[in-house]
Amino acid sequence: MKEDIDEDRLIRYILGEANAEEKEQVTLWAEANELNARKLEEFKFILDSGKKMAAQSPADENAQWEKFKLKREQAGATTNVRAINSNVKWLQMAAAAVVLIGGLLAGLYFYAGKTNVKGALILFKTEKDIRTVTLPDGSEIVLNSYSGVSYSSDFLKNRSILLNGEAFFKVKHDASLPFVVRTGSVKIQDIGTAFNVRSKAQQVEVVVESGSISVHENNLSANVNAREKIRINAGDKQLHVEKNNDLLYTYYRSNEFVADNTPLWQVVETLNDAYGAHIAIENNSLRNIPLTVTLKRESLDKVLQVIASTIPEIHMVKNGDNIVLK
Amino acid sequence: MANFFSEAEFETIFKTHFKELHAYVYSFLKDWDVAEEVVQELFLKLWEKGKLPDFQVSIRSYLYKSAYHNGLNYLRREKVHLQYQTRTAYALKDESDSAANNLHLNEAQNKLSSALNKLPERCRTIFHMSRFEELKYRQIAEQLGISIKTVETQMVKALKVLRGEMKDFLPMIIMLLFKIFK
Repeated sequence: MKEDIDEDRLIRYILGEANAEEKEQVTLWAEANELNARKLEEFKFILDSGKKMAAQSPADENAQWEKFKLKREQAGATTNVRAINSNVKWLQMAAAAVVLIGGLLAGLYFYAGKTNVKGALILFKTEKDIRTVTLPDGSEIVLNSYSGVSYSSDFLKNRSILLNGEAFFKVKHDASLPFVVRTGSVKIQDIGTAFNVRSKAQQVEVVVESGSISVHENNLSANVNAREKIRINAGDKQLHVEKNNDLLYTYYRSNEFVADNTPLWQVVETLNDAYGAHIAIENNSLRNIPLTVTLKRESLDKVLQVIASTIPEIHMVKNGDNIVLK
Repeated sequence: MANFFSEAEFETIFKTHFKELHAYVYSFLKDWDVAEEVVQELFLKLWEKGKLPDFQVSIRSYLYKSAYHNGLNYLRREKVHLQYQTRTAYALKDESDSAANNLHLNEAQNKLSSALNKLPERCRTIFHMSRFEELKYRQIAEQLGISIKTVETQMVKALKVLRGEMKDFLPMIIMLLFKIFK
């Protein structure tokens, strides 16, 4: 019998993480002599006390959230100016009452057991890079740069995703469990499909590559099918579904800008997104000139050179970061 | 993009983690009101920053880290440790009318509670998640974005520090336990 034992094995044994073989090793080791048995008891004591000392927070997360919102307003951290009306005062009082009652209950819960662990939030975000995330259900997300998605760790029961920025979704179909993407006030529900969502402050654009989706905003809704897209602007009274034949939206996956009879302004918009550039079209007659070209995602200068050589009417003026097409 | 978090997203993060962090900060400040203030404060800072500091850092690991540092800062600033000592002394007295054995056990738990304050940040987070929230190694690793091996190494480290801090107490406690259960 080995004199000493790896402490990691001992801890695993007490925490119930050891396999059958390890369990037997520890049992034999502890039975070998009194010293070993005591060491095991010491480890047990420390680990079990930790469990007993776990105090249950007496706070109520909803009341705390209301408190937080008030604090945030006072700190001027939000631009949402809201008058303190009787409603908020009432909430303040309610929050205080909940905390008070919670305080009284705290004694009861004191040594009672573990804290509640609900579904933790899982979060991915990108800076300059582009990143593919595989979800627990096998669905895939390609995140464009400066974008983020989050979902709850109980995703397999609740396939709901929050999006900031732009991402492409390839969804594993499951009729019993809808796949929902939310961004701002827009909710997109898939019906087994692949689609791209680009979300900006005032506008959400969804392009459907295959299958179909339904889009909801406030009380409006629309179905969008393959090779169609929808653009929703803040304050829209109606939703318009358009045909979409171009593949521009795939640029961050393919590293190519594919324009196929695409109006110049759309190409420029994509370049502005892709390079964080400030390109403006000053001459209105240029805006709708159709462009058919495939461009590698190289330096912006190179890309613009190719465009300028394809459309001879263009004059390019560079002024620091600003580029103007005349 | 002004804020990386949408309001709804932030609300979810807040409501999911508030109580857990509240209990965590309480474990070293021993004061629910102060712990509440510390946790509220750290969420406010996160909202004002509008994003997580590094790419792909796990939200939970960030929150625990801030809770640890903000909590300790508070201890340093307000010197509540004085208050803490009188409080635990009082609690101890209060519960001492039960058996003498219990007194020793409580004393040992108090000792352990202050020994916990000697653990470095990451080590303490992992110990807390394992013992206070009873998460498995695998779950801790997933949520902090680290390997299972690292979780295990930190647990071994925690035990080493805690046993060291409690070396005057443990033998007596274990004798007591042997008496009770054998």
